[in-house]
Amino acid sequence: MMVPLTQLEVIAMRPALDQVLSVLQELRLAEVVALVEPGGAPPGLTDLIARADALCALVDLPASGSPMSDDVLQTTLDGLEPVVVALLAEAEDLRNEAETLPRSIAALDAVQPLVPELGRLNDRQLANLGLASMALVLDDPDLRVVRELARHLADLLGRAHLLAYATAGPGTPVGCLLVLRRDDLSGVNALLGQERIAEVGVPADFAGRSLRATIEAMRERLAALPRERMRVQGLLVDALSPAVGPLRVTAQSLRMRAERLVAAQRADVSARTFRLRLWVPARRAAMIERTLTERAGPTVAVEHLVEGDLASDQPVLLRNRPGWQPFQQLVGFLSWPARGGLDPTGLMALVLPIFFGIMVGDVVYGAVMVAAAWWLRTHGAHDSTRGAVGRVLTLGGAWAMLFGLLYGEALGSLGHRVGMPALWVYRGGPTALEPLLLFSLAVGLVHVTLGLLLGAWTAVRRHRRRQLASKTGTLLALAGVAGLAGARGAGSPADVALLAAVLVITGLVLASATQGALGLLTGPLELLGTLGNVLSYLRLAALGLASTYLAEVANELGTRGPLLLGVLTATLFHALNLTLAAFSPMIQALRLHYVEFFGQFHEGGGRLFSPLGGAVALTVGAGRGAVPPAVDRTIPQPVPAGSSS
Amino acid sequence: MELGLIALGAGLAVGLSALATGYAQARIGAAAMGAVAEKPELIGRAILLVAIPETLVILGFAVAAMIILLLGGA
Repeated sequence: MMVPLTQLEVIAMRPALDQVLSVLQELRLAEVVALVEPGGAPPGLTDLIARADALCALVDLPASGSPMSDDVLQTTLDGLEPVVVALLAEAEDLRNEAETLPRSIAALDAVQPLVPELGRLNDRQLANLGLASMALVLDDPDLRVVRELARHLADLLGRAHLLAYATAGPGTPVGCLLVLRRDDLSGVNALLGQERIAEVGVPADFAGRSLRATIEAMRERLAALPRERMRVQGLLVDALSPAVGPLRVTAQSLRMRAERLVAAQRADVSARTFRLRLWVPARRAAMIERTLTERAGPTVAVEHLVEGDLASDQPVLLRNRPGWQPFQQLVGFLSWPARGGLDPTGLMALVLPIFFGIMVGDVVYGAVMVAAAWWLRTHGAHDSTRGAVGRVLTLGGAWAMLFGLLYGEALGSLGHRVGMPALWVYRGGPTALEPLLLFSLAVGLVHVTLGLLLGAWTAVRRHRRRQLASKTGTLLALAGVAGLAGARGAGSPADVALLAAVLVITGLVLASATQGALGLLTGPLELLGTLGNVLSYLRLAALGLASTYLAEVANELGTRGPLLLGVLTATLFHALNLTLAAFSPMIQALRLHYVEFFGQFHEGGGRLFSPLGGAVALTVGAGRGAVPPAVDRTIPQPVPAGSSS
Repeated sequence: MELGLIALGAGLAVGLSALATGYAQARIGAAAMGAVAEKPELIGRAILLVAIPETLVILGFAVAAMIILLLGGA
């Protein structure tokens, strides 16, 4: 339903501007009209909000305490940020280490069996033999770097070295063990640096140990990492916990202040007074006026603007049942209705799930969708999108179950095979096509006619005679065509066909006459377009049949071959069909609304009503620890129009 | 008329219109997704535009149904 709006003009002494805006922010019922070109929120304020939000996002604690002053907030942020940045960097290092260590261990483990004796020797034992060893892990899946390294080592050391390498599997890092004379160690280090061979996964702490000792040390480190990460997370929480509650409250307060500052820039401010123009719901105008004069002081004068003074950029305010909110969003996906138009949300909420049910039409598929929708709604209480999808799917699934009973379908033809009766017609049967097509056309005829009636009603409300004549003419012609088709199908007397033909001609003349000479062309074209719209509803039958036959294929494949394989194949195909059934019918039902139905009456291009305090309330509601607007007590200084702060 | 020819005609009616729909949707879809990438609020219109050519295949389905019902039943 579209809520009528009206305009109020508030005139008062300039110091009262912020108080007026604070009251309006709490009411969340008024949109401020831009009397002068507004600027944005001050960058300093936006920056503070962003910094506070970034810290709050790290710890899931509710808002608490009272808002800080700007100076205290600045000091708090300056003190916290370096600590938090350091801890986050440490946490990131630990995360990287936890990711790379298992790969390094696997790579070195793969080398160990190649040189079992050498792998057991530690550095001291190797030194006694005049030898040294190096463990390397290289990110070299195609072994090009390793082969290159082997060639360079042969050039440098001749045969006086041993290089063993192995990988734990395709695409994993290569583990290498290099055993060489102790005297050659510096030369090899220089070579590795010169060839830019980057070790991965063997941190400096493990350098200089035997292969076996390196692996053991790495395993110990890996085992200790979760404890280490918990310690860093604990330090982060300890550092932020005392501050996050007040920070959330302060960020919220700043958001409200920023909103007031932007709104103040929309007012016409002189040296002593200001003038503020508001869009408000017409039925709440008196209450808003009374509240403003009571709370903002006696110097505030509020005036109702008459119809002729209303600005042209009037927003639209839609009010529908809570259960219809997802469908309202779907209307908004196309375009919000224009001022003075019709809000189709209710009709969409009623008809769209029916279309979905007509196409899916299966008891089991419908039940699975209802169950999935229930899961989405219970597990997504804080996620509005999941809740909305769940609500739409619940209704669609319920209608799918109902039409499943009419079609006698449960997992497609399985219900029919086990004796489930079809209350109307079984879609898999040889005689189903004709009744399904006629039913789809009948649904389309009713829906398009309803759209045309709404279009005619809109024309009456807006005193548009041409549009009214065009819609009425199309309605008459459509009724005539339907009558002709009915008369031919039912073998009715010639009088009925004659009456229908008269209706078609009258409708065409009416629709064409309003367009002048061009009407001779556009009138018939409009009728053809409307007939095309009705035919488009055949998709209700087409998609339904496609779904039925895919389910039939699943059931048929299920009976072939061994039982287990058959059940698996059938389950796979039914899952695929169910997934298609959840998406495709919804898209098609949406399209039937957007193109065929809305096309008859919907005038888009509307702008949604955006009250002062509304966006901030949404931000509060979205996070934990909602802060009521009354918490904000920071009164900013009024900002003259066009000035920056 | 032979059943095979009727089936062939019905199949061609749906198949050719489906090819035409696919061609149109590919062109429109690419452009629509480009627009949505820049302006996400256009998603509703994008769905609408992409879905419009499907009328072609629906009409093809209607023709196929008529072929089957009128000729196949005769």
